[in-house]
Amino acid sequence: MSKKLKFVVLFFFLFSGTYFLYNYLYQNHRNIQLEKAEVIVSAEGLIDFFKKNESEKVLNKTLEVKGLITEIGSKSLTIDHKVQCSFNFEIKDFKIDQKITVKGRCIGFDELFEIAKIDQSSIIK
Amino acid sequence: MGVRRPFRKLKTMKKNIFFLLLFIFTISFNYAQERFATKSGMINFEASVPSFEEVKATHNSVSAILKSNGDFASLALVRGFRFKVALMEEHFNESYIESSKYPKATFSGKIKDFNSSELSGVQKDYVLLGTVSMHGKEKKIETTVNLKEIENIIYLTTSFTLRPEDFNIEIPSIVSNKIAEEINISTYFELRTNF
Repeated sequence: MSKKLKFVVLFFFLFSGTYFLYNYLYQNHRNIQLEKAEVIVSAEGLIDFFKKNESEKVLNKTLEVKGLITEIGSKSLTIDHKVQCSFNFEIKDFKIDQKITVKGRCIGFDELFEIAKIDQSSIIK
Repeated sequence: MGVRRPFRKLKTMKKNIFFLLLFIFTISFNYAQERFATKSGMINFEASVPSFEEVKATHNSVSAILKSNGDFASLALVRGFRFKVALMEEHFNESYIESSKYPKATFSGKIKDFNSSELSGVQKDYVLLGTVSMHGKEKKIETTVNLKEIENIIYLTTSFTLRPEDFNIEIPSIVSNKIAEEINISTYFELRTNF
């Protein structure tokens, strides 16, 4: 009896160990669209974090940025000339000067164009 | 003689204004032609070792600017490199490139003998010389860059290799046989004047 029980317990630990290890190794990417935004801000507000040297408050975090569309690309749009939002899919039916709120993950501040960039964006009406 | 002097002054003034206007005109004309740029450039890097898991990442919002004198600069926010395997991306950001400490990878350099008027729909190779900066270290590189221009868009592609050790990127010995010693980088930019 005891032998059988030991065997069952061992099997259980091996199984759950493998299960958790597998889930760790093959974990999913974060789903930015489903995360709650940690920071909700205007385009200018996002730039301020970088100007004030507080990038750690926004880097790699899920944000919502509000403003007017100033530029449109096939997979990206720019808000208020200050924040570029890139999407994982082609975007359509946007107009310049349209009011918009975009949720995305902040990847940093680009000195070449003096803009902040966010990726994995999705539209929040 | 008393009448000619004011006329001379007027002629000089007119000449000055003419040259000033010509100067402004050429400057503004040149400015419009001066820079081609993109905010959605692509950089791929591949460090796979045969028969092991694929080590590959893509970035789709790289910035780059090309000036008419051949000056070229590019910036990739390191967090923007996406891997298929989430754990690999996490290791890349936290242990290898340390993106919270060094969030940017940049290139600054010049295309040798660049002449924008020579560009056409037919691809032409040029030499690109410059410095790559990443993870707090710099390295000079020289590579071939391929350019063509169609309807005022310059298509720029280049490939080269980099070694993690040149940038103090430490790859632990447990995984070192799964990551290539030479990382293949390939880039693709569509550079426009309205950016």
